[in-house]
Amino acid sequence: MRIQWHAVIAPLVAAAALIIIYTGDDDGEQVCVPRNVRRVVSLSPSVTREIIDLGAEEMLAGVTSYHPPMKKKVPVVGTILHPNVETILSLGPDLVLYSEEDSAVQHAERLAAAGLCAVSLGRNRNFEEICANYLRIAELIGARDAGREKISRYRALLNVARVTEKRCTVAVFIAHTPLVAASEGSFVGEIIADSGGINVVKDTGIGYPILSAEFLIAVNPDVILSIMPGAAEFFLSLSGSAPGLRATEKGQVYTINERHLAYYTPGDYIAAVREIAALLKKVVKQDENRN
Amino acid sequence: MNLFTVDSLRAGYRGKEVLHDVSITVGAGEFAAIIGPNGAGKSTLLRSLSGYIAPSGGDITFMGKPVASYTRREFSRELSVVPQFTETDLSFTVREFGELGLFPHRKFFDVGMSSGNETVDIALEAAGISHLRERNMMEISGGERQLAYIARALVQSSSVMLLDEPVSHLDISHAIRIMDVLHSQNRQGTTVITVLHDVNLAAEYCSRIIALKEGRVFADGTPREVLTYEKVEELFDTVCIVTENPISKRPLVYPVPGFLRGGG
Amino acid sequence: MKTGIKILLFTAAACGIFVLCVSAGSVFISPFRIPEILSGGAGSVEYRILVDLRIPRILMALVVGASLSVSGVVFQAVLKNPLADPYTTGVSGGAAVGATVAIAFSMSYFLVALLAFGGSLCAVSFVYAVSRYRGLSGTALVLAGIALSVLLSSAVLLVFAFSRADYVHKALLWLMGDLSIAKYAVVMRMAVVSLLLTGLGFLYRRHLNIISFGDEFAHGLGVSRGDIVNLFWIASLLAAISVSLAGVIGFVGLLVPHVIRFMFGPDHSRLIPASALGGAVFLMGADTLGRVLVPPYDIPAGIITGFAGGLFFLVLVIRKGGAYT
Repeated sequence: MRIQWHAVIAPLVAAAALIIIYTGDDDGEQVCVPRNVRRVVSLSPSVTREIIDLGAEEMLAGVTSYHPPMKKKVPVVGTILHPNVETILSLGPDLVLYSEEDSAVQHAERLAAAGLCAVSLGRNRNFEEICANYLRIAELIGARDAGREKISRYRALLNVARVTEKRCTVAVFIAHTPLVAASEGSFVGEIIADSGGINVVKDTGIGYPILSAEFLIAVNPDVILSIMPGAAEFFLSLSGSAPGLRATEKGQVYTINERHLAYYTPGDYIAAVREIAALLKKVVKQDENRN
Repeated sequence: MNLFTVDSLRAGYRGKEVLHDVSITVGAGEFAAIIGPNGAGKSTLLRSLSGYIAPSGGDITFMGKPVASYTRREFSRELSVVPQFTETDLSFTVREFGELGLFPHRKFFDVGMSSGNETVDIALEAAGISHLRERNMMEISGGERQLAYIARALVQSSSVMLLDEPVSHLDISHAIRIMDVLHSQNRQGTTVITVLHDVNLAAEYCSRIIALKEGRVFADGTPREVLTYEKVEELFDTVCIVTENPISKRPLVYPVPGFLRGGG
Repeated sequence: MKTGIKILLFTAAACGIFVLCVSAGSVFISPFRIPEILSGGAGSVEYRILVDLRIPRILMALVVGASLSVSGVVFQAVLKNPLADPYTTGVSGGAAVGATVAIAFSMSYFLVALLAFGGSLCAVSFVYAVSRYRGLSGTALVLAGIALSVLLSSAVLLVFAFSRADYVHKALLWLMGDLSIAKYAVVMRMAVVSLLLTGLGFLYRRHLNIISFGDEFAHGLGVSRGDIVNLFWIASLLAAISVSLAGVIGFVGLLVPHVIRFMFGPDHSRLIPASALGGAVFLMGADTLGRVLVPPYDIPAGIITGFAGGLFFLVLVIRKGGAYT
C-alpha cells in the first residue's frame, strides 16, 4: 500500500506555515510617559471635545474627520476607523490620545511602532468611567487641577439632574430598520436609568440588540425614544391596526437629539440626562392629567 | 510476447459498471482497433488499459505486471495515450507542444530543455508536420492539430500508443493521413491500439479487430473474421452489406439505408 | 518584440514604480533624498515614515501581490480555466468567517490572522473533500467552491447581525484588504514561506503546462493525481496566507496572470516568475494609489484592485467579446 504523500505533506506544510508566520508576536505594550506636552493628536471625537472643555484647544495638532465644532481649523489625520499614521507622524505630536473602544479598529500598536507616544483611554460604559478618563486626559496634558475642579462640578450637576425614582418604562432605539435598541447595560441605557426610566430591554450581554416588532409589542413600554427622525410615524405604522403599542396610542413616541449621545464626555452625559429626564417628567405628568 | 493481458475485467465509473467481463490479450507489434456501438465500453476499455480507470474486478497486466503496480511516470514512459478530447488549447507552438511528450523521460529537477530535441524533430517529421513546427497550436486546422497530438504521443513513446477516436471528427483526407502515420509507425514496430468509429478504416489498416457490445467482447480476430455481414448486423443492430475492397482485399461494409430495405 | 527585451523593460519598469511608490504618500519624499535620510539615523520624522511605515507596507504589498498572482496562475492551470481566481475554492470565504468571528470577539491582530488562516484552510479542505468524492475535476472544485462561498458570506452576515457596530466596521475594513498593518517580522516570514511555495510551484512548471490540457491528457503523460493535489494545496496556501494577513484583495490573482500570459505566453517556466513580479508591482502600485488619491484618507488596496480589475475585464469584453485568451 503506497503512502499517500500528498495527504501527509499538505497538512505538515500548512502547520509549518502557521508556526513560522504567526508565532513570535513581538513587543508588548510600551508605556510612554509624556512630558511637557504641547502638541496633541486626538483620535477620538470625545477626547477632542474634552480637551476643548479643559481649555486646551490650542494644543490640538490633529483630529479625526468627525470632530466637534472647533474655533480654528485643525488638520484632519483620517477617519476614526482608519487614521493615517504618516500624517500623524508628520505633525510631530508629543502625545497621541485614543480610546480603547476604537483602538482595535485603529491598530493603535502601529502608533507605538512608529515611535509616537500613544496613550489609550479606557472604555466609557458609564459616568464614572467617563470621569476617570477625563481626569486622565487632564493629567496627561498638564491640566490636572483644572480637571479635578471640573469633575467635582460635573458630579454635583449630575446629582441634581439625576432622577432616582423610576417614573415609567422606556424603550430607546438607535435604528429603525432593523430595530436596534439600547439595552440596560449599554451606555445609553445608563443615561436612561439616571433619567428615571425603566428600560424594558434588559441586559443580555449584547449592548445594542436587534429586536423584533413582536417583542416590542410584548413588552409594551410607556415611552418610546429614538434617535432617528420621524419616530412617531414609524412606530405608528409598526403597530398597525392590531391592538398595539401603548406609547403610540398615547402619543408618547419621541425623537431625541443625538447631539449629546454622540460624545462620551461628562458635560454631554449630564445634558442628555437632563433632556431625557425632562421628557419623562412631562410624560408622567400628561399621564396623570389624563387619569 | 503479450503486451496486455486482460482477464475478466469489470470496470466503469461511479455508480455504473460499463464493462462486465472482458478478456483479451494484445501482443507487441499489433495494430488493433476497438469497435462497437455507442456505449459498448470502447473508451472505458482503453482507459482501463491506460490505467486512467481502475478495474473494479478482474486483472489487467502490462508486460507481466499489473497496470496498477506501475508508478505513473514509469508507465507513461512505456506507452502514450491520445485521449478523445484535449481541453483548452493554449498558445503553444507545435514544437513546444511536442516537447511536452518528453515529460516522463525527464528527471523531476531537470533544468535542461535541450535534450531530446532530435526526438521531437523525428516525431514531427513522422507526422508530416515539420513545416508547422513554429506555428501556434491555435492557428492550425483541426486536422493538423490532431497530427500534432499524435506527434506528441510519438515523442513520449514510440513503442506503444493508445488512441481514443483519433479521426472521428476529421474529414476524409485528414483521417487517411493520420491512419497512414499510425500505419507507418506500426510497420516500424509500434504497437497501436485505437478506438475507431469507422469500421472500414479499421478493416483497412488494422491487423486485429476487437468488437465490443454491451460491455462484453462480441468478436475478436482479424478483419476478415470479425467483419462478416451477420456479425456486423448483430453488433450494430442494423442492415448492411459486406463486400471486399478490390485493391486491398480487406472487407468493406456498406450500410443499407432504411428506405431501401423493403421486404427483407 | 524579443522575450529578452520584454523581460528587461518589464524589470526596469518595476524598479521605477518601486522608487515612485517609496516616495509617494501623504508626505512626498523625493527619491533623491532617500539615501541621505536612511543614513541619517532614526531621529528624523521622514526616516520614521520611511522605515517604520512605508517600506514595510510596500514590502507587504510585494509579497502579497506575488503570492496572489502565483496562486492564480496555479489555480488557473489546475482548474483549466483562465478565469479562475485564488478565491474560487473558498479561501476568501473561510478567511472572512474566521476573521469576522475574531474581530467580533475583539481579538488581537495576530489572532485575527490566525483564525482567518484557519478558516481558509477549513473551507479549502472541505471543498477539496467534496470534489475528491466526485473525482477532483475542475468543474467539481469550482462548483463546490462557489456553493461554499455563498454559505460562508451568509455566515459572515450572521456574525455581523449580532456584533457591535464598530466591530462590523472593522470587519468590513478587513474584508476590503488592508496593508497598513505591515510589520517587518511578519512580512519577512511570510516572504520566506511564499518564496518556498512559489519555488515548489516553479518546480512543477512542466506539470502545470501539461495539466492545462486536460485530466486524461495529463494522466497519460505521467502526471499523477498526487501532483495535482500538491499543486492545489500550494495555490491554496499561498492564497490563505495572503488573505489572512492582508484581507481580501481581489483581482490580483485574476488580472495579473491574464496580462502576463498575453505578454509572455502560456509556458509556466516564464509565467510563474513573471506573474510573481507583475503581481508584486501591481499591488504595490494599487496600494500607493490608495495612499495618494485623497490624503489623509487611505483607500484600502482591495478597493483599488477591485475597480482596476472590473474596468479591465469590461474593456476586454467590449473589445474582444468571448475570445479572452
